[in-house]
Amino acid sequence: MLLLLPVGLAAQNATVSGTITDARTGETLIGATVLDTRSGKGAVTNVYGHYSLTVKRDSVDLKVTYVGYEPQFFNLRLDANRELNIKLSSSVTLNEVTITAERTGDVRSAQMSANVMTVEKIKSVPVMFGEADLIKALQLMPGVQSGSEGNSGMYVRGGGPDENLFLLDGVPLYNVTHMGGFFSTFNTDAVKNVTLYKGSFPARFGGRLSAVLDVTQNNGNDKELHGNLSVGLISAKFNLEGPLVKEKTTFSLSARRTYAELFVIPAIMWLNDATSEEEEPAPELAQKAKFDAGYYFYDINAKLTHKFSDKSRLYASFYMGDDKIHGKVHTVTALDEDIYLGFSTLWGNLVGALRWNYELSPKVFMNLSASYTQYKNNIIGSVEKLATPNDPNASTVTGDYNSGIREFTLRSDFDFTPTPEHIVKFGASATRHWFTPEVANASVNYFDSIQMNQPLQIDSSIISSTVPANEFVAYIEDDWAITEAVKLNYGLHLSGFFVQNKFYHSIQPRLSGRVLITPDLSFKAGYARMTQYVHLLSTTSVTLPTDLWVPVTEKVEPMTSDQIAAGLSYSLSGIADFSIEAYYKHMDNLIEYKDGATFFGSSENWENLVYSGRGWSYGVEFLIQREFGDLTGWIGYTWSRSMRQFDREGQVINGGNPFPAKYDRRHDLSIVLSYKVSPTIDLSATWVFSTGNAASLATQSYPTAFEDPDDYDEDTPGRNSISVVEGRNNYRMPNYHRLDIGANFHRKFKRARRTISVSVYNVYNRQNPYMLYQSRTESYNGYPSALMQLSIFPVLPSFGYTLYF
Amino acid sequence: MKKITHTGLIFLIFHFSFLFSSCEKILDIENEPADAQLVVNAVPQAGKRAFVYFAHTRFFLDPSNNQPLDGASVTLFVNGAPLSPDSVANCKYFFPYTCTEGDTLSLQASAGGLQATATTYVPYIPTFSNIQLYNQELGHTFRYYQAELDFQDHPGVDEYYNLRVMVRDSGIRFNEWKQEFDTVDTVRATYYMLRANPEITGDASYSIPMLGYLYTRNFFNDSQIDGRNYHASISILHLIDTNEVQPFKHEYTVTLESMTFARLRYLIDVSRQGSSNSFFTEQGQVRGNVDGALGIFAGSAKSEITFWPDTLPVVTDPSGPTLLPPPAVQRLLAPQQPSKYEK
Repeated sequence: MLLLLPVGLAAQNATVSGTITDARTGETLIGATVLDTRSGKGAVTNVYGHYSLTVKRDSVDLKVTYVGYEPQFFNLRLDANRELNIKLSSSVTLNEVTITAERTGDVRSAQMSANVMTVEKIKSVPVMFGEADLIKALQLMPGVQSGSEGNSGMYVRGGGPDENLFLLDGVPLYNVTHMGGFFSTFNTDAVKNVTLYKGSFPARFGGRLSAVLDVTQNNGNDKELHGNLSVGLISAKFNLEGPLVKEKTTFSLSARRTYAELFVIPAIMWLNDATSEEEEPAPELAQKAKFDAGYYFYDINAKLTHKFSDKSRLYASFYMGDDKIHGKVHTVTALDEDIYLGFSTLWGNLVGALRWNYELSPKVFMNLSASYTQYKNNIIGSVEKLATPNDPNASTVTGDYNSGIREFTLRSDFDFTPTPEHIVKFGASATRHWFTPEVANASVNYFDSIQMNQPLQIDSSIISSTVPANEFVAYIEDDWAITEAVKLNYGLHLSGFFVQNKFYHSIQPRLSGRVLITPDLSFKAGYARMTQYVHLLSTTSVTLPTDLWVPVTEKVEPMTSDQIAAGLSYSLSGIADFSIEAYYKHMDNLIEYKDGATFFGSSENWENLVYSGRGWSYGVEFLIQREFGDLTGWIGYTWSRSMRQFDREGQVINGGNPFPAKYDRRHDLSIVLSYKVSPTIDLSATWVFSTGNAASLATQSYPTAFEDPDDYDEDTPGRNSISVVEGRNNYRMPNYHRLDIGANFHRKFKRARRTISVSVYNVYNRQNPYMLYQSRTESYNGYPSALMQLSIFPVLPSFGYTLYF
Repeated sequence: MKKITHTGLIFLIFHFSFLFSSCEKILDIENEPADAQLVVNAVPQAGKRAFVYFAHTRFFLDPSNNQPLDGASVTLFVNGAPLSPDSVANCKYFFPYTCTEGDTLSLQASAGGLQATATTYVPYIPTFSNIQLYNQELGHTFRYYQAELDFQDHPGVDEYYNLRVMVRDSGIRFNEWKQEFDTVDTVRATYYMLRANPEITGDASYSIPMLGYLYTRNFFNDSQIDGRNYHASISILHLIDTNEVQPFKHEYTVTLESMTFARLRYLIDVSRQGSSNSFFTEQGQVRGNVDGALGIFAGSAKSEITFWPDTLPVVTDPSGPTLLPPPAVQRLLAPQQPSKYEK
């Protein structure tokens, strides 16, 4: 169909193209609209702020709009192609730094199942520990669920946390959380625009089944130096941006670091004091032991943008972030041996990207990019015995364990606007992956003076298993305005994956369309097939550094999904936007650990620990959203179901019967409100409710079979040791609900302004379930044991201070 | 009384904010306990008196022992001939019969309107022969032992084996040793590497490494050795790091059990469930072979030898034994295919 594009009509048309930027900062605006009010034809700026509008050669009346900005009008005589770069002025008077984005739930767009999250919106949500969090804000949108309490994992439309593609300036990020999942890796100071696709994926995206989160970093102010400095309860951060060469070269630099260890240091000192005051240490234990431990995370975002001309721009993006837990115990034994036991775990991402935009012609916009992304974790354990007068020989034993993934990608993308009715995007990419599920090394330098009289030295690689793989992608999509009322976005995403002499390929059709029933009401429907060539082996709902990314293999095939969705969008002018969407998603080749299996501490190959099966999910999502006025916010509600079934020969879980996915939740409700009391004060509140998580729980127990009859008579508590688990995820934890409130107090100074943020997490101190366990020290209804619920976050006040300059 | 410092106070205040609301609470169980199910446990062993444990399941919050079932009826059929129990004690029904190799046994049981049936056979005893034990001291800290033995597989019968090595060390033997040599006051580490042949290869075997390597077992079937005499070799490398040179005594027990497939699967499932009851894993299900009831009715036959390596003469071999890596590492170097027993 794309071949039928009426390119021959080009001679009768002319194209106006250019870049739309913020008049004050020079920041490009994503999703701004350019509309010729005479012909009704329009264009939207792409992720680089570029637009291209082809209309008949005539006079045009252009209206340029962007939410939160003053519209601009141009009357042009268009006899030939013309370049028109537009600067829009923000209508926001107070929050000059933040950039508002296009309205979500756009009635006129063919795209559905997408949420645009502005930085302003993210910052308006009450937060935990005083740290605005992008993913936690997205978890409040319908169709997106959090994992366990406080976790930054995302479960989109019944998919798993590994089925989401997180893109930072177009480059995948493999680990998107800090502190075991309590924080996301996205520093909101560095972010310009966020779009979450939950379905009806445009053909340019691929590689994951359930969601694409496209995050764009700030380019930096091209006129003057600006920045901000923030201090929260457990972290601090700063952002600095400005021109290196005015209106030519800009930079943006953000950094964030926790100081949670400040709270740990007193605890360690206190406990060490307590240890030293022990009167009589056990003879076999240390005479005295001192320990030290700490944890921190940090991230650094940087971006350099250079404008060669209005048609040519270069972007260099960089991200680096790590978490580190470390500890050391110093022991002096009864033999006066000085021994240090140490451990450290370091995990994090490193991302770099170089992109070059060039407007080949007014109708063709090109982007070439080269990018590198890496996720690694490194665990080190050591035992070090120092030389002493009694034993002059020092010994060290060190072991380290590494795993991770690296990839290098070359990519090209083109936007082609042949006629006013068509916006064609096409491109291709090639990626080289290096998967390192596990590499372990041991180093021993041991001297036994008592017996061996010779040192033992080993320095060897115990395990080494780097797996290279090549991935190829090509795509083409067309946004086709068939009539004023009917719009279609259709395309193909082709991919191939070559690993360990096995080649997988996939043809993924994409289709979405909208019919404008009235100017404010539209019907939308879409279909998307997705394929995923990587799996995340995770043993818990908590993000751990031991989670491993592994490629598909000959035995473990790529995951696929087919999703259909349909819905209505309605815009009630001046009040709010409404949308309702229903979806059904079928997923194949999902993997689950076998009963009782875990990678944690296991020596088996991961392929032998998992089974493949299928899953399906369906649901209805409601969203009411208001983005203007003093009162803003949204109400999102999702009714959904997510099931799994593993019934393939030799790969049976739950007897082959369907079972609910771990995060299958029937109801999920979020109410987010923000109210601007005055120019200096705004208040916010969030209330969330969701059905409890599913969990596997034994209902009965019975004794193990013994060979010797006497073994049955031993009076051992808990001898009824075999649990009857009637089905995987057969139990529902209690419902989850929580109220958070927050307030921001703004004040302007001569050359700066500041915001003090105060928030309270879990205001009414709801004890939400984090995990369940059986306690034999408690009793319940006459039974000698009880089922216990562990909660982790009670009411939690926090504050933040931000200085903008 | 310990004086609370300023730093301690800050620590307390910070953590108090997390703790004052109490993180744990007892959950109400809204559902009624499910109806109790019958449980049949029996492992008829060659050369041992037959008995069946017959009880019912308990609510999962009730870990107490089972009580005998009133009015239960249990009949054992030995090669088709019915037998009634001659004594009953605490859920155990004893039959006047000593199981022999090759027996076919069936069971019919009923209680409270519930009925259970099951069938099994008694495997042939895998008798050891040509037992040889080696002790090679590599110094105070390193000991290397090896047990070589043969056994005969019975032809024409699908048998499954569990070759098991157990080291009695951490409990009684260790304390006895410490009492005997009171100059030993520091033990920095003890470490075992156990490895048993036949190899844990392909889908013919399944292994469950245990923490500390004090216990290892090696499942395999007779598909490759049907009817033949087979040689098994057990290697033990022991490292102990103490402050004093003293002979360290251990007791090693090598067991070779021949069993039915149902018992093999049951043992694997039980082991997995035992290791899966944690935050990190899904709790596994245990599969039995009794129709109408939970539990297992599966025959078994075994041979066992116990030896004390320190009592063996030291073998001096200039070339020295080949030190084998621990089983876990060996498996990582050569990834296995999944066991067919898992299918």
